[in-house]
Amino acid sequence: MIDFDDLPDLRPLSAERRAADEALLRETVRAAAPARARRRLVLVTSAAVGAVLVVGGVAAAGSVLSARSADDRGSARCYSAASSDFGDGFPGTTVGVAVAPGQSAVDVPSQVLDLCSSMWAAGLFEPGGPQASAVPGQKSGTLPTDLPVPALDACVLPSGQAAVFPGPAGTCARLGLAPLLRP
Amino acid sequence: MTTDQRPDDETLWRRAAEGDDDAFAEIYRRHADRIHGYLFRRCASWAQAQDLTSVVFLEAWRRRREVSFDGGSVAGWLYGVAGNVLRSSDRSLRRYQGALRRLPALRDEPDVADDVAHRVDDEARMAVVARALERLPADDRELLSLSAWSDLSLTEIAALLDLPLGTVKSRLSRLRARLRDDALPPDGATPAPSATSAPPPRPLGAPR
Repeated sequence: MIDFDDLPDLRPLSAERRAADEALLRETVRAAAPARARRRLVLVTSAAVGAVLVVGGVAAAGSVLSARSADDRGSARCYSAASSDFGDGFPGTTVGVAVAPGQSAVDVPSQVLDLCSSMWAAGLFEPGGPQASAVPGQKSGTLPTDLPVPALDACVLPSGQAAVFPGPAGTCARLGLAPLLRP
Repeated sequence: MTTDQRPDDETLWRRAAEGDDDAFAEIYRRHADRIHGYLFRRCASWAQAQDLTSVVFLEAWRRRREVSFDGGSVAGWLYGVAGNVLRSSDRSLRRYQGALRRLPALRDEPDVADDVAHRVDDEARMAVVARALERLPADDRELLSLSAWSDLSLTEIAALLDLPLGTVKSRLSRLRARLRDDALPPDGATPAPSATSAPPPRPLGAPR
């Protein structure tokens, strides 16, 4: 006879695991709509003449854990690894947008997750993938758009610039960074 | 179905299918614990139940066009996905091993060794039940598990298993009788004595 009154109590999933699951599922949903993500990227680039990708940055360090907005609204970083190198030689690229005369500025931090997702989906951060420096002169149609996108976590660097790191929710805290306040 | 003003699962699912990641995250928040609990009861391992919970939601997303709702709720369908995942857990885990590697593993907290011991004890007790259930035909195992460990009604279970309600009831009655007759002693050992000082346990599959 199986005694169902003597079964162990159930335990909830840990908060950490729940957050990571959620981040993974969000990523999965976003990755299933590569055309949508690409369309957003194209909108940004066409409205702004062209995306200017510059490798560079500002060195800083800190450990602020409450969510905040980015101070720098004109550029952001897409990291290719969850690195605590916040200096000039960081792994990844800086995304900036050059705006055509008469057009309003693009608020980069509010779109940085989509921008960085599109770069991952295009293979820009994969070993052997196309290099970020080749993007401005390359038609978007020549790039893949459906490569796996890892979980991404958007943070604010001590310099005030938004930065997106590959990793589950909580990556910002692990790096001592504030999560980026999403609009 | 909730009584508040929150959108039902069907609405959230439609939004998610259109690319709204917040909507799918809300689906996960609503159902993750019930699926996790059900999976633990079935597999008797907290670590595996945790990974299989992730797999169930990833698999649910992969099969999102096959979804069905009952009263606006996706819970029944998710239990069905969980059953499929359990039947092919090795393959399911392999399919998503890349994603699972990025998730935090179940940790043994050094400061709460007592908790670790309890977890191990939970698994040992649950394994006895799981082994007994393993000796049932798959369909009976599914039916018993859903009736005992899901929060679905018999009507919902009948719909999920695509069986007439009367068939579900009669099969459960037969299975309960079989269990009552100690046809399934744990570990295949000598049947437990029928008279004890403890109150009678709730039989597996008893209607709620």
